[in-house]
This record gives sequence, C-alpha cells and structure tokens, in this order.
Amino acid sequence: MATSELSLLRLIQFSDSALPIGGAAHSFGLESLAAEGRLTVEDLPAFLEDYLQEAGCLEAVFCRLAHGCWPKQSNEGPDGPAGPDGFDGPIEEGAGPDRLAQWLHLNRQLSAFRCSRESREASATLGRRFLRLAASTMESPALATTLERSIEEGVDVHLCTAFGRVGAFLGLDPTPVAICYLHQSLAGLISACQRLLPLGQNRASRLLWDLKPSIVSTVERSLALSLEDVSCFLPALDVASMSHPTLATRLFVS
Amino acid sequence: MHGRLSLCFERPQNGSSAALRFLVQEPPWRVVRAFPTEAGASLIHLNNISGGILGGDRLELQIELSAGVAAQITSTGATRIYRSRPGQGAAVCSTTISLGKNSLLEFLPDALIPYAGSSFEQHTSIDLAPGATLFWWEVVAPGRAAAGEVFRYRGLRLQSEICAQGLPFAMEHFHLEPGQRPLDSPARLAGDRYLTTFFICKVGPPAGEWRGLEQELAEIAARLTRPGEIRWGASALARHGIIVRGLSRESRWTWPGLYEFWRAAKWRLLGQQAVLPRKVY
Repeated sequence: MATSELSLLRLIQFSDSALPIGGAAHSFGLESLAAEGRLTVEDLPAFLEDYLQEAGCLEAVFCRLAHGCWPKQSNEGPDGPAGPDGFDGPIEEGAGPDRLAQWLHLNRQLSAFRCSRESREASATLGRRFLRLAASTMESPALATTLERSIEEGVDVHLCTAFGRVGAFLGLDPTPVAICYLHQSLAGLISACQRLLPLGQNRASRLLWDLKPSIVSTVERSLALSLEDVSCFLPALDVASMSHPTLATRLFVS
Repeated sequence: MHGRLSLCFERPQNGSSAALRFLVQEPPWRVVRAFPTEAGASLIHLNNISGGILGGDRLELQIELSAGVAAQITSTGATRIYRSRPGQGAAVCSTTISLGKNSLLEFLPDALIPYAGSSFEQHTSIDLAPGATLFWWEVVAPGRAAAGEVFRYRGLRLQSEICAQGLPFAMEHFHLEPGQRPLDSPARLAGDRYLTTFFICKVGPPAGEWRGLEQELAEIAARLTRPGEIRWGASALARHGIIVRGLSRESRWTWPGLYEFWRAAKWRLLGQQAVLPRKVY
C-alpha cells in the first residue's frame, strides 16, 4: 500500500466520531437552542449549512494554516526519514521560522475568535485530547513535543489546529485534512441533535450525506481566504452557548 | 472624503481630569472640547459634521490614553451609513486605540445604522497595557427600522481585535450580506434585528475573577432576557475580560440592559459608579 493511502486510512480513523476524546459530551450551544425551542429537526439542514458557511469556513482556514506551519519538506511523519527515536523526525527548533511558535499563535488567535467560554473550552479540551491520542497512537515525539510546549506556554490547543498539525505530520495535503475535520465536526453536531431532538438514525445519516457537497465547497472557498478575510457571524449560537451554564437540566458539558 | 482624527489624553500636571491634545483633526471629524466628569475622567463627543458616513469615505480615528488617565468617549448621535452610489467602494472607518498603563476608557457610542444600499467596513484595533481597563459597546441596527427599512444594506464588515501588549484575546470578523446570506437563520440573528456587543476588559485580574464576574453578569442576562423581545448572554473571554452579547427585536430594550451590565461590571472591577455621558437621551 502506498504511503499516501496509508496516511489517508490513518486520518479516517482520527476523523471517526467514536474517537475516544470525549466529543459526544459537547453540543457547542445546540442544547440551549433546542431547549428554547429555537432549533427543530426541520431547521437542521439550513442551520448546518449556515454553520458550515460561518464557523466551518473559519475552522477550515485555521486547519489549513495550522497544517501549513509544517511544510512537507520538514521530513517528519510516521513513515518519513527516521529520527533519533527511529520513528519520526525531531522538530527543528531554531532552524528558520519557529513552526511551533507560529502554530501556537494560531491557537491563541482562535481562542480570541471563540467568544463563548464553554464552546472555547470544549474545543480546547478536544484538541488537547486529540493531539495526545495521536502522539500516543503513532508514538511520535514530535507530536508529544507540540503538546508539551502548548502546555508550558499556557496556550489552548483547538481541535481544528490539532487536526491540521496531525494531517501535516501524516504527510497529507491540507484539503483532505480540512474536509475530514469538517466532516467529523458536523457528524458530532448531528449526533448531539439525535439526543436533543426527535431525529432518527436514518434521517441523521441522510443529513450528513446531503451536507458533503457543502463541506467540500466550504473547504474550497477557505483555500482562497486569509485570516484577514475570514468571517464568522453566529451570534444566536453564541448567545445560546453563553446561556448554557444556566440551563436547569443539561445533557452536555457545552 | 478622507478624514483623520488623532487624539491623545494626557495626565494633567495639577491632578485634575485628563488633558485632551489634538494631534490631527480633519473633516468630517469634529471634537469641540473635553468636559471633566465628576469621576475625574474627560468626556468627549465625537461628531461627524457631514451627518453620516458616505459611500467611499475613508475615515481614521486614533486615540491614545497616557498612563493613569480616564476618558469617556461617546457620539453625538447614531452613526448613519448612507447608500453608496453604483460602482462606489465601501466606506471604511479604521479605529486604533492605545490604552496606557492603568488607564480607563469608556467608549460608548450610539448605534450604527446602515441604510439601504450602503456598504461599510469598520476595523477596530485596541491594545491595553497592564492595568488598563476598557468598556466598549456597539449596537448595530438593521437599518431605518421605523421606516420599514430592515436589512437592505449591501454589506457590513465589522472587524475588531483587542490585544494585551500585542497578544490578541478578543477577535471578531463579521461580514453581513443580507442579500447573499440570510440573517434570520437560527444560527445568525434568528429573527432578531439588533446586535449588541459589549466588551468589558482589564489586564490584570486572574481567570478566577473573570469567572466570578461572568456568573454575576450571566445572572443579569438571564433576568433581562425576555423571550420574543431580547436575549442576553455573558461569557468570559480567553483572557482579560468578558463579552456581553444581546439580540433584540427593537433597540429600546437594548440601552437599559447595557447600562445595567456596565454598572455591575464597573463596580466590581473598579469600585466606581457608571455614569452615562452627559447629553440628551
């Protein structure tokens, strides 16, 4: 099997909604919207399309920029030239621009974009666990170093930037990495909706199926955007996420 | 029209309220003078003598507060964004604010009203030194709602970045194009019309203090929320502050709520009363 196919298979496993990082515990504000009767099953197709246009595009840009901190010639990855540990290459700190510093700054910026504390903390919790799991599964000192430095510097690691980091480590192009990220992100939201709304398995599956062209077009659109150009306007979801801690009964952490 | 206003609030020699120094003042900007407030701050009214922002305008606003000074800035009325002529680019307003150590800025403008056919970009960049405090609210109207003109502007791009010594802790990039992306979506405005944002920031207090203030403001938000009329939320930012967000059908619900959040936050952070800028309401 070619390296790229193997890498893609590995990415598919990391994109599984059943990945043990705790994704099922978060609704990112959907629970409040459902509790207030502001989100129904009938609303979901348009709601998720809008979510993709705004938050999806923002996160796709961050995922791609995070991926771009580690160009392919950085010679790392599970099947790349062996580093001192015989598995992957060390991060070349100090050689040229500090990739890790750039990547950490992206995470800081994304934290600044996420105004709702619960949703921000959810993204950071999942990002940290994802990176830890990837480092452990691939026995990668490079990924472990990425995580350790973020902890040392007190920077939250977000899931989309962790995805970009791992995608680059696997030697994959940024487009499939961002597509897989958005797909698992929507799968997680739809799964949350199945517990919040009368949404059956078949309809949920069809919903995700129908959103695939929009996922691809969102990532294509994001390729032309810089951080300066990108926008995200979801104030109703922000307010819902902000009011989540005051809900009387909660199924989800966020 | 291209106009620039550059102001500096400086620490006075005699211990009175901050002295205002005009570095640049070009039309359509106009600030007459600074008024001392009872709390020892300097109050100024930002005036646009052309009556609003016209298509193709390029406006710049620079404000600097020296260490330890307090200033309150408001507008003389709503900021009206007029229709752009065909082929005319978006009007642009760029604001840069620098807050010195232990300074206090209360930036409390009236609403932004984008008229039908208007196109506007607003870029705001604020940097806080250690101990500096910022209260900044912004209310965005859907248009001339009383005349039935709602969401008929061409485009509204609002970009804000608030930093502490260069490191961003609050960023917003909104791009509203009612003709392209419907704003009544459940994820966007969900049927509401007015968008309110209030940043409450101070460089210094630890995360635990912000969580305490978040809880206090969230209780106020829950109390002031009236289904079908107005919804409020409050949340701690990544660092150094709180954001309060409001969505409402009409603007009359917004201002009393903003005042209540401001009063509670200012008392908790500074132990001072919040006093509205002196003008006709």
